[in-house]
Amino acid sequence: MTAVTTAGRRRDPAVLARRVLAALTGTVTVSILAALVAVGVLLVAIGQNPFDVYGALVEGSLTGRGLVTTLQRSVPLVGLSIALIYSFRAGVFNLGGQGQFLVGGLASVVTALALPGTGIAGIVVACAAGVAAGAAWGVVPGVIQVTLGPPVLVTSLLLNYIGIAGVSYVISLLKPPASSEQATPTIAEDLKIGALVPAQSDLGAAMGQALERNDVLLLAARGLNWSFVVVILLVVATILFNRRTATGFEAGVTGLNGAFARNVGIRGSRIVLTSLAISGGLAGLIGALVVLGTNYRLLDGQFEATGYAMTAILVVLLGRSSPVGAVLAGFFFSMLQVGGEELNRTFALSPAIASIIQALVIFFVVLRLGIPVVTQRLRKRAEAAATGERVEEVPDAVPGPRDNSTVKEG
Amino acid sequence: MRALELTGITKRYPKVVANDGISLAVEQGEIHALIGENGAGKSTLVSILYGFVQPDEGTIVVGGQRRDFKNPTDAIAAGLGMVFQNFNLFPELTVAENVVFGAEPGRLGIVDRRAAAAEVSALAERYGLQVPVGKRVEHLPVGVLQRVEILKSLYRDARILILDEPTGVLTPQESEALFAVMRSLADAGKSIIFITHKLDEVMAVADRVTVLRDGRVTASLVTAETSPREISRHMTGRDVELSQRLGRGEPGEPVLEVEGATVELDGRTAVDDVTLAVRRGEIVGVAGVAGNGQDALAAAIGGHHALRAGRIRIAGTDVTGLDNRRRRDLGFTHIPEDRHVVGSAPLGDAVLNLAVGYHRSAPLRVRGLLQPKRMVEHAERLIRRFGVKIAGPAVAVGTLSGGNLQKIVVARELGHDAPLLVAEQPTRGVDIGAIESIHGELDEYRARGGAVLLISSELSEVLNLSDRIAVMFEGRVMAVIPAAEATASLLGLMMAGVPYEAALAEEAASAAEGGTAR
Repeated sequence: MTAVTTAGRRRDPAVLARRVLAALTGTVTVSILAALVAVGVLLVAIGQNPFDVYGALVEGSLTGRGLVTTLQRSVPLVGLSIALIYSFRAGVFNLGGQGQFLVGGLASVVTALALPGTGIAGIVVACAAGVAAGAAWGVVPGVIQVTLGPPVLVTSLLLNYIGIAGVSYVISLLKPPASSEQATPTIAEDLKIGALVPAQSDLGAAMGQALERNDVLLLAARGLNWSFVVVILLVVATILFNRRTATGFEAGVTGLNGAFARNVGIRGSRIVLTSLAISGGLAGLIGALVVLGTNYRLLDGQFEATGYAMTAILVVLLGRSSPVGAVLAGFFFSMLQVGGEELNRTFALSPAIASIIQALVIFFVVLRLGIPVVTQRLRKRAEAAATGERVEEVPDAVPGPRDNSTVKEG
Repeated sequence: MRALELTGITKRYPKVVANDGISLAVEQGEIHALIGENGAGKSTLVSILYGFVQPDEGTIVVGGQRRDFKNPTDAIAAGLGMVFQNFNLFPELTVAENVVFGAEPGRLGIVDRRAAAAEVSALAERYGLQVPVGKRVEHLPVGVLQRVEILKSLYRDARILILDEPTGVLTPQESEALFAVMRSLADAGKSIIFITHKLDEVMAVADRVTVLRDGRVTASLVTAETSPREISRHMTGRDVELSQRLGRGEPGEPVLEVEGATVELDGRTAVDDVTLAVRRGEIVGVAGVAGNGQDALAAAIGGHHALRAGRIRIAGTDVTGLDNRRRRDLGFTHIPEDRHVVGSAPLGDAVLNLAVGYHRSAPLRVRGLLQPKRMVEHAERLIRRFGVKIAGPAVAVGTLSGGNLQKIVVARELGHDAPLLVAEQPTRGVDIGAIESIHGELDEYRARGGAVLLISSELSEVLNLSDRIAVMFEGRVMAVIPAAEATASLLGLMMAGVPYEAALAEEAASAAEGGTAR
C-alpha cells in the first residue's frame, strides 16, 4: 500500500482495523485461498489428501533446513523485486530485470577476476561494478522512450535477449580453454561473500558447541551469507526512499497518475530515467551478490534457469509494488518452491505443483478476485447512476485491494 | 392527455437511495423540465425511464398503458426517445443515413437511400428542424448534430423526447434555436422531458418543472407561476444567491502576459496569435464553446505545449522556454479541466494529493527528508480551510464526490498563495454548494491580489466572476471586453465567430427592435 498511502495514519486504530479487514478480504488473500482450493481439487483428483500435502509443503519449507533454504532463495527473489519496485511504483514497466541482473553479475565476476585487491574492499568494488553495469543497462530503455518514443515495456523486455546473448558471448571469451563447461573461472577465495557466521570462525565454533546440530539458528548462521543482510538493508532503504525522499514521493505520484504528476511540476522524463537507473543498478547488485555469494563464477544459462528475474515481476505484482509486500510475496514464492521440492521427495509429486499454485495466485490476482470487488462494483454503479457522473476506471498499475471508504456529501 | 406518468419510482443502491418514491406526470405537448443538483437523482430517473435500470418499486404508465422496460429497446417501442449529451453519430455518414440507421427504408437489406433522404427531409420540415439532409455529419456544428439526434428519435416515432442536459455544448444562440425547436415539437403534440441544472433555461422554455433533491421530488411547479429563486430553494433546501456579481478587485501590475501565442497541434492551429494579460487582483474570463482552443491555451501557459510563435511571461519573467516545474516555481498554479485525469491521483489519499508541489521545500521537506507528520497536518489544514468533506486525510480522493474532489484540487492550488492561477472549468459537474464555495475562494484569492485566468464554457460563471472577458473562437481571441459591457448575447455572438464590431451592431439593432437577444 506504500504506493497509495503516504504517511502517519498508523496510529489511528479505526484506519488500522479497516486496513486489516481490507487485507483479509482483499484480492491477495482471496486469490491465495482460491489457488489453494483449486490445487486442492486437483490433488483430490489424483488421490492425494490436500491437507497432508499442504502440511508437508509448509513443514518442508518453514522448519529446520527447509526454512534456511527458503530464506536463502528469498534473497535474490526479494532483492530483484525491490529493484523492480523502483520502476513499477513509478509506473515504468521495466521487464528488463533479467538482463540487468545478468549484466550486473557478469560485471562483478569480470571485476573480481581482474581485481588485484582482496577482502571487503574487493567485494565492494566488484559489487559497485555490478551496480554500474546494471544501471547503465537498465537506463537504456528509458533513454529510448524519452528520446524516440518506443515504450520501456517493449524495449526493456527485448533488451533481455541481447543481454543474455551478449553475456553468453563474453563468458565464451573468459572460459578457461581446458574447461568443458561454458563458464567463467572461479573467483578468488577471499572475494567470496561469506556466511553470516562461518563454521571456522570463533563465534561459529562457539555456536556449534552451544546449539544442537539441527538448531535453526545455527543452520541459518552458517547457511545464509551476508547478502541476506544487504537485502534487508535494501528493503529498509527502499521504504525510506519511498516515504521520505522527494524523488521517491514524486515517483509514487507519477505511478498513480502520470498526467497529474506532469501537471504539478514533476518532470516525467527524469522520473523514468532515475527509476530505471536505480532499478537496473539494484538488479545488477543482486547479480553481483549471487555471483560473489553463491555461484562464485558465472555459468552460461544459470541465471536464467533460476527464473528469479521473471518470478520477481510476479512478486511485485502480488506485493502491489510495496517493499513489505515484496518481502512477504517473495518469501511466499520461495516457500512454495522449496516446499514443492519437499513434496517431490515425500509424495513423489512433481515440484511443478509449486509453480501451479504460484501461477494460479497471480491469475486470480489479475482477475481481481476479492470480496470487496463485488460490493465495490455495485457501489460504483450506484454512485454513477445516482450522481450522473462518469466513474472512471482508474488505471491501476498493480491490481489489488482498494480503499473501501466512501465519503459522500450530505 | 397524459403522455407519461411515473408513480412511486424507487431505486435503492447499497449506500444510497437514488430515487425515493418519485412521481411525475407529463402531459402531451408539454415541455417538462427536470432540475436538480448533481446527485439529486436525475440520471437514475432517466436511466429507469429509458430502460437502462429497473426500479425496485413504482410504475411507469405511457399513453395510459402500464409498461415495464427491460432495456432501451422496450422504451423506444413504447414511444420514448432519448438525446444524450454525447452524440452517437457516424461522422462519415450523411445526416439522412444517420437518422435512418437501424431502421432503414428499403427491402431485402438494401437501403433505399433516396427514400431515406426524402423521409428525413419531410420529417425535418414538419417539425421545423433545419438540417442539411445530404451532408456528411463529420464537420457539422454541434447544434446541428443535436437536431440530427432529435430527428433520430422522431424517425422512430418517439412521442416523448428526453433531452439530457442538451445545452451544455451550445452557445446561447444555439440554445435559443434549440428552445425554438423544442417549442415547435411541443406544439406538434410531442412531450419533452428537459433535464438541466440551469434555472434560466427552465424559465425560458419549460411549461412545468419538477425539482429533485436527494432522490425525492421537492416541488412540481408551473413555470409561469414560479421564480428562479423559488426553484433554487427547492433544489438546495436554502436560499442561494448565484447571480450576484462578486466584488471586483483593484488590478495592479500584470502577472500573466501572453503575446501573440500560437500553438499547433496535429498540424492544426489550436491557438492562433493570442494576446492577453492578467493583472494582480483581476479575474480575466475566457468564454467560448468548448473546443475553440481554450484548453490548448491553458496547456501552453502551463508549459505543456511549445509555442510556434509568441511569448509568455509570468510575473515579469519570460517563461516561453521553461517547463511546467519552472513556471510553477515562478508562481503559476493551475486547476485543470478534468479533476480525475489531470487534477488528482484518485487512488492516492488526500495527504499525497495535497502535498504535491509543497514537497520540495520546508516545512514539508527538511534537510532533504520529507516529514510525514507535517504532510498530514498540511492536508488537514487545507481540508479545514477549504471545507472539504472527507472522513480523514488518509482517504483516497477518488472516493469523494465531484464537488469535494474539486475542492481538493482548488485547495492544493490556492493553498500556495501564488500570484497566478489558471482555472479551467473550475465548477464543471459539481453541485451548487460547491460552486458557491469555489466561486467564493476565487473571489477571495483575487481580493488578496491573485491574478486569475478563468476558462469556462459556463457563461454565467464568466459573467459573474470576471473583471474582463476574452472570447475565444477557433483559436483566436475575438475581443477582450470589460465585464461591465458584456452581455450573454454579445458574448454568444462572438463565441459563434461574429467579430466584435459586428456583434455590437447586431446587439444594438436587436435592442432597437425592442427585443433583446436573450
